[in-house]
Amino acid sequence: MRTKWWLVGLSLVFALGLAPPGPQTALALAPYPSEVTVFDIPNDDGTNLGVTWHWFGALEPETKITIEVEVAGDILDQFKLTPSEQQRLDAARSELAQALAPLIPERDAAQQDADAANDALQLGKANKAPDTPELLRDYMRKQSKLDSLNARIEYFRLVFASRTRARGMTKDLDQKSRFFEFLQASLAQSSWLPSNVHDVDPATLDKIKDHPEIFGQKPEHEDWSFAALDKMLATNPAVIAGTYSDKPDQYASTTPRTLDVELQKNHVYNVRMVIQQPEARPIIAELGGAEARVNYFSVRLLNNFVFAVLFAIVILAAVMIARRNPNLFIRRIQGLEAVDEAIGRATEMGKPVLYLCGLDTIASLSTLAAINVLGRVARRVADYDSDLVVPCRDPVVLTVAQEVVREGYVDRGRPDAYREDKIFFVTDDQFAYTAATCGIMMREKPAANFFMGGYYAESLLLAETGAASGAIQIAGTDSLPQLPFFITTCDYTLIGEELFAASAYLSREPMLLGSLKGQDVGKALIMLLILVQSLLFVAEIILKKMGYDVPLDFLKMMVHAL
Amino acid sequence: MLFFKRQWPIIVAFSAGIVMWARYYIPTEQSRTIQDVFTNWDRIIAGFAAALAVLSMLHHHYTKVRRKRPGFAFSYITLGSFAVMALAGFLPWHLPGFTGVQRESEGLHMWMFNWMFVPMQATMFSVLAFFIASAAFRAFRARTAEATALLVTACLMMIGRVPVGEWIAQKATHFTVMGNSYSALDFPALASWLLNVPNAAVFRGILLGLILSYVAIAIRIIFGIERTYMGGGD
Repeated sequence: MRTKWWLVGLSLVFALGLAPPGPQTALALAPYPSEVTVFDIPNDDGTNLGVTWHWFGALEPETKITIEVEVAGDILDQFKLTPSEQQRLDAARSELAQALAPLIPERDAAQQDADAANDALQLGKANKAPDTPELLRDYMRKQSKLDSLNARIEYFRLVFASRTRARGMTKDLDQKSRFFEFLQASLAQSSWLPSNVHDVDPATLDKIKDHPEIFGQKPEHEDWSFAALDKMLATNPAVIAGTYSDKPDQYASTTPRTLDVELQKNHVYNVRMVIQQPEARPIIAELGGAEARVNYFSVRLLNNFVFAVLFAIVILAAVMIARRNPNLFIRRIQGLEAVDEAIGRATEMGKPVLYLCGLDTIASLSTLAAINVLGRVARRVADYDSDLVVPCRDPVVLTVAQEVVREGYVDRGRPDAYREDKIFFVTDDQFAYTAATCGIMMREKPAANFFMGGYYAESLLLAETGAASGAIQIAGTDSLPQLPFFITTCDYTLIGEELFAASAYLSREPMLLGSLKGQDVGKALIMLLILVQSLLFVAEIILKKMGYDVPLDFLKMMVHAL
Repeated sequence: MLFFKRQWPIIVAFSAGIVMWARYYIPTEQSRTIQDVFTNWDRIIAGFAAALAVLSMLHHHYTKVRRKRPGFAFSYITLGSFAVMALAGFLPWHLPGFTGVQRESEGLHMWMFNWMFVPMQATMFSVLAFFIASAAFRAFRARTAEATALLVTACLMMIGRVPVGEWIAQKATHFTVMGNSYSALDFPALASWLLNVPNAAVFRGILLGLILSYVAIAIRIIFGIERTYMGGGD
């Protein structure tokens, strides 16, 4: 919604008229938001409004602005408790108050005791008193009692929270009821409530160019101001009544002075701006209104969605083709060709094979890829009757790795050779894990080390220790900063995507190999897009030099979006 | 039972994968709630797995001690340290004389963590400096053409990133091209070019392949094409 120029002019006159007489306001042009647009922010859950504008007139250095939203009284309906909810809340509150009644005075007394003991301890330490250890013990005892009472109070509050939280609700009844009370009291004062943009320096506000997710990469009026409104400020009824106290209440909680209430979905809000210049009356500018709508699809992710669907279709099509024609050519990957050699070497030397799945959790794709390769390696190890050691850093990875290795042995008809204590948890601490694993390398001298998955600063420690122990080493990671370390210290390194191709490569399963082919098609498509985009840029420059003004921006934008 | 071992995990992976994929494009509150539910389940499973992990660790070291495998003495230390740390964590012990500078209220467990465990971690991390030197020595031996190129590039990078590189650039002969003055030995500019052009190009290429691989492996897992992670194999 765009504000009309005549409206701006009228408001300006009105603003100047409101300003007190004096040389500053009479001479200076009052700043005013111009070309205002109030809109629903796309791609969100419907609790945000956006405002864009540029300033008409100069801003005084210490000017503050507040954007307010006009809230209709029917919004209270969304926070009103049903009779059954009210009954449940009352019962839970009464139960909480009963439980806390004897504990709160006891906790207050314990707090005083602990403070006094701490003071005595500090005094004793300052004076180097001989009974300082006794004072310390006394303080610890009293602090411990206080901690225990606080823990009990917290327990009852947790029980209260669980009782007042309905299944599937995002807000608990206690919070909902507070929102209702605060909003009711605030709306009784005024229907305009301050938003989250409250008493701020306009110079600190974002610009349109700071939000490409809303306005695109090359927005018009990129230096205009932008504010996202998502909350309204409701004031405590006690503050309005002048009876507010910040002491904890009978429920052991402190009621805040104000509450931030989210803008409600599918609700129309009028918006205005209060401009407060130093030593001047506030100027109020009506900005317009908009509905905060629920968005069921992020339009800004449309290109991502289209590419994901297309790529999924390509992969699945490639898999279908591979099922019909299993003889697919996949280029030789030296690191994976060496897997057999490494396991064979370990068998000949009578030494174990050490396999690490990286330091990431199972949620990481590189860990999943490492687990997939582990399955293949376990089968080869079972075939060769060698020994496999897998120290794990993540408990979930451990359980999955145990299962995968067990299945690998069973698949090769060697369930007796599987030993669960060889796939074990070390610790989830990065360097403790590294120290333990380096210890295994130096003591057990594995003949082959596999470092698959995601790694961080420990990569070089592990790989260098492995190199010093004389093992043949194969690494595979998607951690780009660690790749140089692995390339330097390992015999073979699977770089990035090769790790993800490893499972397919080792299994020679046509369906998996087909997905690799699909990946290649995707890569070719991206290369084509890069080439087309480069040609478009070059063509534009050449054509401009030749004096032709061919608008290629749309084409470039389309390629960029893809 | 075979259904729960073979088909059920694929059904779960497919449903969860599709739901989470769709959730990425849907910005509503319900969509966030679904993600929260999945995250909570992840934490619950991780909690149970942590208990299993501790048992696994204890079993591994106990077996090592019982069978007197090489290095079993270290297992004694691990088991002992585990017991002491666990006990100190459960009991609010405080021993006079074991107080840290400011952490006297934290008890023995935090004392051991702050004054034993953290320094040991730092020691382990500091070893990295020596390992970088030895790895560099191994990498820079000019045995092949590639290794020689690596050696030359590394030397240029090092000179370009230290003050002496800038000093050489300032002192070297300057020449003028189209009104701009250039140093004949501008190592800092060369180092920046190496980083921003050939290095960035290679990294972007790897990144591109990686991202496609992420999508591809996700599709393979969601559609049950890749099943090795379930232990089921092909």
